[in-house]
Amino acid sequence: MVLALYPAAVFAWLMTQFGSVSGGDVVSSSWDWVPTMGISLSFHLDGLSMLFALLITGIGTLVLAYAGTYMKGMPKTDRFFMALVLFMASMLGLVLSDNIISLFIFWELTSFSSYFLIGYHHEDKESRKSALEALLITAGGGLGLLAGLILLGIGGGSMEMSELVERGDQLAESGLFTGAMLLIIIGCFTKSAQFPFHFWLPSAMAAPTPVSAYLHSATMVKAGVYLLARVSPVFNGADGWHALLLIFGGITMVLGAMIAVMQTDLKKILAYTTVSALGLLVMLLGIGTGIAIKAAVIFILAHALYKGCLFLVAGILDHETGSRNIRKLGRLFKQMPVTGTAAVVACLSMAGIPPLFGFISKEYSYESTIGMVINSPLTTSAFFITGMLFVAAAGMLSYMVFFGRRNKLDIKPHEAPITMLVGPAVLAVLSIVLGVFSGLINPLLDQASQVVFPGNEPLNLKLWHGINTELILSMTTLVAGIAAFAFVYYNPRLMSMIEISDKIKPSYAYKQTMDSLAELAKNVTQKVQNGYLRVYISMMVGTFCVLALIVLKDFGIPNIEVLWSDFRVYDIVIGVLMIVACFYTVVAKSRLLAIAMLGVVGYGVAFVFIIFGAPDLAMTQILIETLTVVLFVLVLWKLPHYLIFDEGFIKFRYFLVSALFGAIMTWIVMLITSHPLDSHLKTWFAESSYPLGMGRNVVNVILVDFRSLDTLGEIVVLGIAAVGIYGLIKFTTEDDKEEAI
Amino acid sequence: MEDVLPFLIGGLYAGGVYLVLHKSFVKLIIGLIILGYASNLMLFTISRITRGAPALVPEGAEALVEPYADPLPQALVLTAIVIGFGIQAFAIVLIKVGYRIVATDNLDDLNTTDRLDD
Repeated sequence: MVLALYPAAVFAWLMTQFGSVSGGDVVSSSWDWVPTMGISLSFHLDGLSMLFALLITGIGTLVLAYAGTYMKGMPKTDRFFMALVLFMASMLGLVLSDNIISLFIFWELTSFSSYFLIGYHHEDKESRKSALEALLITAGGGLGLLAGLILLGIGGGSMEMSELVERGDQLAESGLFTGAMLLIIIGCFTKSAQFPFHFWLPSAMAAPTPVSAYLHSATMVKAGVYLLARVSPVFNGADGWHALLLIFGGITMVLGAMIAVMQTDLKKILAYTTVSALGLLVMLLGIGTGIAIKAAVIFILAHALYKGCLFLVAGILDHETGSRNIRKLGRLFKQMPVTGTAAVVACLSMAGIPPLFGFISKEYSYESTIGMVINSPLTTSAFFITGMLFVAAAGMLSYMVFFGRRNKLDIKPHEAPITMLVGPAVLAVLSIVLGVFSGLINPLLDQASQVVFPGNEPLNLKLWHGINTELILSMTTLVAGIAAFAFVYYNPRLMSMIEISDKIKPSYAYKQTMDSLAELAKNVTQKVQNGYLRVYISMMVGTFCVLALIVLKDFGIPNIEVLWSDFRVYDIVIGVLMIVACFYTVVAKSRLLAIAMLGVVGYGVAFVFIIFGAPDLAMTQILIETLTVVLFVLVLWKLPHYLIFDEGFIKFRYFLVSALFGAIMTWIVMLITSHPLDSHLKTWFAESSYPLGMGRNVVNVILVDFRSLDTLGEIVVLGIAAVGIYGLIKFTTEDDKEEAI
Repeated sequence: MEDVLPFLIGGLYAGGVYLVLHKSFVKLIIGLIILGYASNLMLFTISRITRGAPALVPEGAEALVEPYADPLPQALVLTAIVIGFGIQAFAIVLIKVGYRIVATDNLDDLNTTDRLDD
């Protein structure tokens, strides 16, 4: 509840700027972030941003107040509100950002926070699936968007949106125009749930209702529309822009409305009508004429008002009656008069009945489809069908729930608490007020349309335009819509018989893709992570060899100048002895022989240390070698037969890998020793050991004096190993104890 | 000997890796020990070796007199040997306990936690 003050404060601040922004001024401020890459946190408040920012903070305030009551008694509300406020902030950042990179970051943040909000009931598998679906689709599209924005930035030579919108020509010359346009369109289509990506939005209804009201009707899904509108000055008029937006927007619009009237769940009806409304917005942007842009701007506001209200009403119904099925609900007006009134007003706005704001929006939409130069009849009839279905859906949402047949509820519903009623009531009242006194909002909407379509004729909102084609069409739509509603209402059985095969839905394609991806990942994991240690090690060694060879190929093989005069017999004897012992360790058929040969190799190493002036090393080596062999023999005498596996050809492969590795190591050692080494440490220790450490054995002085902390660490390691060994020896399972008894 | 050492190191590395690639747990440990020898020798060798001149300050002198062996790599290798022993001892006991519990020395029988179930 208190949280709601925060967006309310932002809303209030925005209202103080209302006058100047609707007068055409721009409020902006900027901080450098990564100046070398042209990334800054620059914010820009113009008409379009203002419209969205007001919706975000205004509806945000209402939703937060509402959610305080709605979520009472539910678990993890702190997490929920954190995600909701995070979303609010990101969304605000998105619509205010001028820098395209920071815009993208806010864009991704909205996807990210909505993931948590949709997945609020994370114990529920469906909920998790829906959240992931929404995230993958919107974030996947976001990747396309990032690429598109970067192309836009490179082509336009600026990272600021306010400069880019004036540089359409420069972008066209750079040859990046089409690529940037397509990628941005993909990003926007995924976010704004356009066909064929629309299915994530109905699934996202798994979220708590305040979230659906806020994210999935008023704000997040409009982000795509916002960005399309924002870049519209650049792309408007280009080949493909109109066609793509018009076709996909139109399909989404008609399809969404058609599916909506087949639903019985309140939230699903709302979700599909939202999909349809988003389609309409994209289509209007695609028409791209001055009047169409005006219609789009008006509809953004109208839709946010009535759809936000209806979602909140759906939440109240769910909360108070425990059901969202329109076939179960009915005649609730008497028990819930305030909720009912708000819902009816919102539905009238949705149906486009005067004097509500939705009516104005519908008039403008008709005007823009009629005014199209080509394809006008097709677009107009598509809009006619959608409008008709909207009327039917509005009827389903109001008449069937609050009047109509007796409800089949088990409990007696009653009116919701006042905190929950405020939201829908305010939104419903706004729908009426803005409809009657449209002059209040006229300057802002005019500015917004100027931003999207520079040089647009001034907007002049009026409720009554006189009797013209639009009005006649509008009335016809209404009549047809009521007829359609009557059909749905009186033939519930017929409606429920309509079944659409899963295979033609885009969600099926999504599911197939995800399943095959998971299958592929599983196969790859099974190949790569197969559980055989030797495969892992040979992979690592092999990779090392390849990389080492790439580096080493530039160096020659050093000359081996054998000065026979330098050679001593015992050198050769030791060398040969060690190689032979190593060979027998490898091929030994008995464990004892292998361990004995290992001992020989170890003593050989000690001997090398003696020859080259390292008596301390030699001593340690001899001690430890002896201990190892003793330990081996003591511990391992009870083990089973030494395993000799016949691995045939594979054995040869492993032999090759090992031999290659050995050869490369020889090569590396020869290369390193053939270059001079200049170590000042050597002289420093040689000179300081006695004066500073008071010791004549320099190695010892280093260990116990200069690097004594290292030695302490070493002792600790040994101590831990000893404790570990003790623990292992004492470790007995229950079975062992039983056997002992 | 200086010319023989690189080949000796290479031979030890090859033998160590080859042993590690076997199925037997015991061979794996022996292979690791041999790899340890090879690495110690390599570290020792690449920091230059000096024959028969330990880094000991003679009586009456204040500093080492050339020629003398570089003491720093010796100190490093000494640490490496000791730590290596800690690991070896632990691994050897681990084989023992592991065998008592799972009754096998075959690494291929011990990989169930690392595989996807079909």
